[in-house]
Amino acid sequence: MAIHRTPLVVGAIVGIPLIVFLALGFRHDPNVIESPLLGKPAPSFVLRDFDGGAVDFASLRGQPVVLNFWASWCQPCVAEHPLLVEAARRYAGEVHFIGVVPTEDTADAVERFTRHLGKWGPAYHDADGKVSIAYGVFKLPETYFVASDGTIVHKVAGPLDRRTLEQSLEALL
Amino acid sequence: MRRAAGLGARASRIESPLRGVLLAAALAVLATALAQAQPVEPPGVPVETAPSAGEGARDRPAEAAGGDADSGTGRVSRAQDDFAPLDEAELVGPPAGPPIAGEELESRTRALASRMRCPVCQGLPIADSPSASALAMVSQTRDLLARGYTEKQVLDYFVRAYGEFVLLEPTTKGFNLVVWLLPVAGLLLGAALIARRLRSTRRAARSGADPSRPDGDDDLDPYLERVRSEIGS
Repeated sequence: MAIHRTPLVVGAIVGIPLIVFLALGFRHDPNVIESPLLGKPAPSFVLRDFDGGAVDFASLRGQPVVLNFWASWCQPCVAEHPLLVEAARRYAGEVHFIGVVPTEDTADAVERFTRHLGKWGPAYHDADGKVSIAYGVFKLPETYFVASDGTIVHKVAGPLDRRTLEQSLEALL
Repeated sequence: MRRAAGLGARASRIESPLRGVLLAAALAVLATALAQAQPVEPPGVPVETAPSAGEGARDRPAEAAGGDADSGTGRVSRAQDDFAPLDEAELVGPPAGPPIAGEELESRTRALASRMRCPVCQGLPIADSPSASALAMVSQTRDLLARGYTEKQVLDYFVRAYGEFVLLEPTTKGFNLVVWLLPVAGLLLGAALIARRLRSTRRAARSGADPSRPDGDDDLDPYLERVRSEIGS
């Protein structure tokens, strides 16, 4: 049987790069959106909480910050909450723990949540969603670890686990 | 029948070079379908189940206008009137165009929002998504355009935060060029193969050979010869 070389060559030219392309593509979890903000300055913002205060994020520079986007209705946020309560207690005075709740959250819901599960830090209200957009938040909870010079060094999308939280905090200090 | 056999043989010879291309195209389509087969909301993502703005959103209480200053936690007092949570100019520079409003603002917002991907949906532009995230992104798009930011600046603003994932059309640079050039390359390759086959067919016809008859081996097949004689060809 005669072997036609052309189809083999064409198949190799088209097929091999395509297989490599697909192999690389399938290694990527489509649910994970890599943050382009890593290694860059954390966007500054000013947000209010439900108790009458506000935070100027730029004024926190000089000390590391754990910036956590959460919501009162979010079950994964419930799961990670005790870890944050514990970490905030342990790193008090060394690390700022700042929470941001989304547009739809309410003072009552946030108050009920923290009364029931404990409070690890202030919860500021992203009333128009602009701060969440500036950080590229797409999945609650999301946690940004910001070094004392204001650079985002790590991001966790989804609930924190103890090991990740401890490693990230140690890296900040 | 003879014609059918000839066509079959010819088809199999034409198909051979194209088979790789077709297989590659099928694999690409399959890969795209699999890549997009992610859930609308990843497990544990609560955004879609959140109460709507009408149900749950609530303006900040009036007394929140002036909080106690506490430098240790970054807490400051803010006047309610000039409250702006972010300074976008810090992130993408000052607006490069004139402020716009009215119908022009709405149409440009709609056009730009149609080019950005909703991060919590399945391949939907933010213009067509009812999710809270998408609505906030459309609102931010409108706000930036109204203040005079150009379309490129607005897209850069979202890409800075979400990466190129947020663009429904990948940019035509770097590795993304593959997405744009591969279909064109496939078409050109297919056209070249067809042209080559046609040329050889014409050449065979000019030299008196029957182009529908494959070379050589059918002469050795007595059954095929018998079929040809029976159908009178």
